[in-house]
Amino acid sequence: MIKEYKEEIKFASSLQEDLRRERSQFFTQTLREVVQTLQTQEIDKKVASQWIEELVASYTKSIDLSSDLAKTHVVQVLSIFKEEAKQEVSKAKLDNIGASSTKSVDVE
Amino acid sequence: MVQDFLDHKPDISMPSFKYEDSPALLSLAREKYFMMWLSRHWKLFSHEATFFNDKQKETEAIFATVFLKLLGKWSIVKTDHAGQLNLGIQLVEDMQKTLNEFIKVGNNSDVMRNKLEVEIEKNRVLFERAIKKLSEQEI
Repeated sequence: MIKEYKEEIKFASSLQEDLRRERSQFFTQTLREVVQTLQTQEIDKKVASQWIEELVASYTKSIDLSSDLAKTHVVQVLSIFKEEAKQEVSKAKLDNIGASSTKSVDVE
Repeated sequence: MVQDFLDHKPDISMPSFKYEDSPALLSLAREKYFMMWLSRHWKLFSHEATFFNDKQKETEAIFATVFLKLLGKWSIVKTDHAGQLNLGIQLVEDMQKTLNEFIKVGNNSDVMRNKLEVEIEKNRVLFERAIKKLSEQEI
């Protein structure tokens, strides 16, 4: 089963990793570049900080939504995975019961 | 959005200078920019969707839901049902138009204020000229 869902698991994991990396890059690097760009343009400090404030708010809302969607995807994959695992276990149990009853008939 | 800031987009830099001393107009201009950014999401997707095959077209409903969720973050809509997509698009467009109108009114009020200031100054000078003329006649 793990083999079967390998690609899905990899995708879900890399999606979350990408989002974490993007968020961190935004706050550590991109935001600094934006501040510098506004300074280079000689935009008033107060005006620039209002733009930055709104940019951060909008970016956060957007990336939060992406993270929520990624989480939902993981939950969906997990629930499918769990459901199939349950079915596999029940099937194995039934096969076991079948095998042992055949054995006891043979013994008799 | 970030690229717009880095590329010195006029939608950001122009109002920053023009409304530096008009906080209300600057706030409207910022709002207008972010509304434009929001509506661009769907515009970009629908442009890409024109090249989609039948199977890829199925993603349209998924993206519509995501887009509505995004609008929900700005409290523009309260539903993420793909059937409400047109409502969401219409609301964003209407908000953009309304903000444009507000900004125009603001710009006009600046023009009117300038005209008024000129008129006051002009009347003051004309009055002084008249007084001067009268006093010269009396002499």
